[in-house]
Amino acid sequence: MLDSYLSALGYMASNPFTFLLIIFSVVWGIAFGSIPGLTGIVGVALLIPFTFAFDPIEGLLLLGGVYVGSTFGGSISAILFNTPGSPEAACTALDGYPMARKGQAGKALGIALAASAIGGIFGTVVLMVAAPPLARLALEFGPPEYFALAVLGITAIASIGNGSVLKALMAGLLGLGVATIGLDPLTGMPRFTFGSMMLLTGVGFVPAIIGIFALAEVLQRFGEGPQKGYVIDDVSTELPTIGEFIQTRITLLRSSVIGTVIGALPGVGATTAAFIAYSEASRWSRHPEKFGTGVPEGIAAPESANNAAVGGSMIPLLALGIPGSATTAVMIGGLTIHGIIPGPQLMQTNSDLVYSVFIGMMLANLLMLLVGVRMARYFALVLKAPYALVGPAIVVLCMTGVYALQNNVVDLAVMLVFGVVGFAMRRFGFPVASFIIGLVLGPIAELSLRQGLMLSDYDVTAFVTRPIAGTLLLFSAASLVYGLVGQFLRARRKLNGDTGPDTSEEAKA
Amino acid sequence: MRSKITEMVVVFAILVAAVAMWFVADKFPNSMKYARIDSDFWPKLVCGALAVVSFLQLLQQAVGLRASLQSASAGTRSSVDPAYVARLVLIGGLILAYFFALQWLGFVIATLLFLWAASFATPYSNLTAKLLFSPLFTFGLCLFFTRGLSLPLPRGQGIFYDLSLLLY
Repeated sequence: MLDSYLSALGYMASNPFTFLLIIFSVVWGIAFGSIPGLTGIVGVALLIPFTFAFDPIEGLLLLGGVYVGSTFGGSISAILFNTPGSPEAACTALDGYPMARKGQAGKALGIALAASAIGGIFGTVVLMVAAPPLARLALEFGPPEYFALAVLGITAIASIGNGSVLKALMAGLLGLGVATIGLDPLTGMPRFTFGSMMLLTGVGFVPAIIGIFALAEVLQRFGEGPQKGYVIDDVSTELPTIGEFIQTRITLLRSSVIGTVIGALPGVGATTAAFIAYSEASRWSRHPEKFGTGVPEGIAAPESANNAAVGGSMIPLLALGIPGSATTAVMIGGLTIHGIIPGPQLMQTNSDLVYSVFIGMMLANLLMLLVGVRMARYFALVLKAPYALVGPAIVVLCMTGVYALQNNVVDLAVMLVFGVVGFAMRRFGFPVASFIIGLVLGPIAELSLRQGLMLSDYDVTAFVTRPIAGTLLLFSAASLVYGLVGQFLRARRKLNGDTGPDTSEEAKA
Repeated sequence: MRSKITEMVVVFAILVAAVAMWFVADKFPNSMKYARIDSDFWPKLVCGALAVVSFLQLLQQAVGLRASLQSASAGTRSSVDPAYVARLVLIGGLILAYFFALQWLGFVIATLLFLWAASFATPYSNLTAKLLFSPLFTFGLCLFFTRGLSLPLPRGQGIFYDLSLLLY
């Protein structure tokens, strides 16, 4: 293995053009990730024809760099404008934007950047050392395991936010309900489409999150009129200090592990990883009620998880030839252009390519730290413009990006509807995070539950007797009890008028 | 008080919708192969749970409303700022108009008009910026999407479609 790495390093050192390609691809990826609707998939897809001009290693380095950059890029617009540039960054907006509103936009960007790099490096290291065994583990995941994984995320719905538990549950159930619109994944029957052909494909996730976050924010800001407190004009990206890093180390580690494992599961992806990591960060936090108000863990968890999922999703791609995410599915196109078939033989027949990709992704994550600081600064210049111009421009950008997704006006209508839904949810105190978690995990939970029941001949115990599923469900139950007991104790303390020590201080202790 | 009542109306609407959707799910066509886990299996679970939770929330709000009616603060009136509602209706109307204009007029004309209308509808004194921003942003974005990325933009209908074809 060492020989292969040395050989790959030798190739890259003798070909400095590869470094230029990585820099370009990271910048390209960040730019695509940060523009709502464009996402990393579009960024990768647009570059595939250009890989013709390069050799396979250079081509794959180019695509890998875009994937890494775009996963972070989404967080820039999520933090600065409450407009997630990519689905993976939707979760980052929950705490990133409130933190920016507190005048700590630079710090929020710094946390996102550092967490992304740490998560990305963690995922890449795992990819480098354990791709084949992890890929085999991922194949052990059947419907019961997927269901247990979805349950793990869903059980956090009630503990998110500092408001009513019932409202959080309602929001989560609404998300699960909206996710059922469209064709039934098993029987193919239309559900809740009311005769509309346009609803057959269900509610698009990207239009929904752009509506819920960006459009609702524009409505809110215009409704409230010009307010000085809203101006975020001093943005100089501040990477976290060593002390701050140590404070969030557990969150970073937990989220990176979650991201890598979920990323390695075919068909789940970085968005799910980000939401499950956020749920777990909130559940295990000493101050879960502060989540959604702008806490560093609320940014570090989803960002480290979604970037770790990049490395994770490359595991089944390179080791088994199975794409772990939509972006890696597009990347297969880039590989096949050069006559390379990803799969178990790839590491033997194209070891130079595989190990160069590993090294390239590691470099891309490190370069992201440098490039991200600069790019976030340029983005921040937009914040100096008056909202009378920026607000409508955000609407135009969202409309254009969402339309370009599928050349479809229905997606625009979905975005508008969810803009109103998002606005109403904020107005009446329903946590948006719970709704989105329901929307993301609903399809996975439903399909895997029904498939699992069918495969086990409707024996529910099959879900708890399988080792991985049983462990995940046990973990869900334990963390649910932990979260609920914590909420109960906090409520009792509040009722007794005992405010106790400041929770943030508790966390520092 | 008014906001609490409005909130109760919203929760009640969700409760009614959840119950209604449960019955809609009950009418989904049956499939012999998936009899025990048919199309209605999951939606009924979700709608049922939503109805129960909404009912509990409604009860909780009713108790809270009763308590606040009895308390001294019951006399205080909360009012919605009419300017807030007016601004909200204005920007909401503009966004909706932009959505329809995109389909009829195409991207360039609709975006030009929307950006001008939205910037003039909000208090900002720099007239030059208001006038220049709309065309610069519109044509910049149009070039970026159509020439740079070869991505589609709405072209509108009739004469506007032909006009859009000349541009992109």
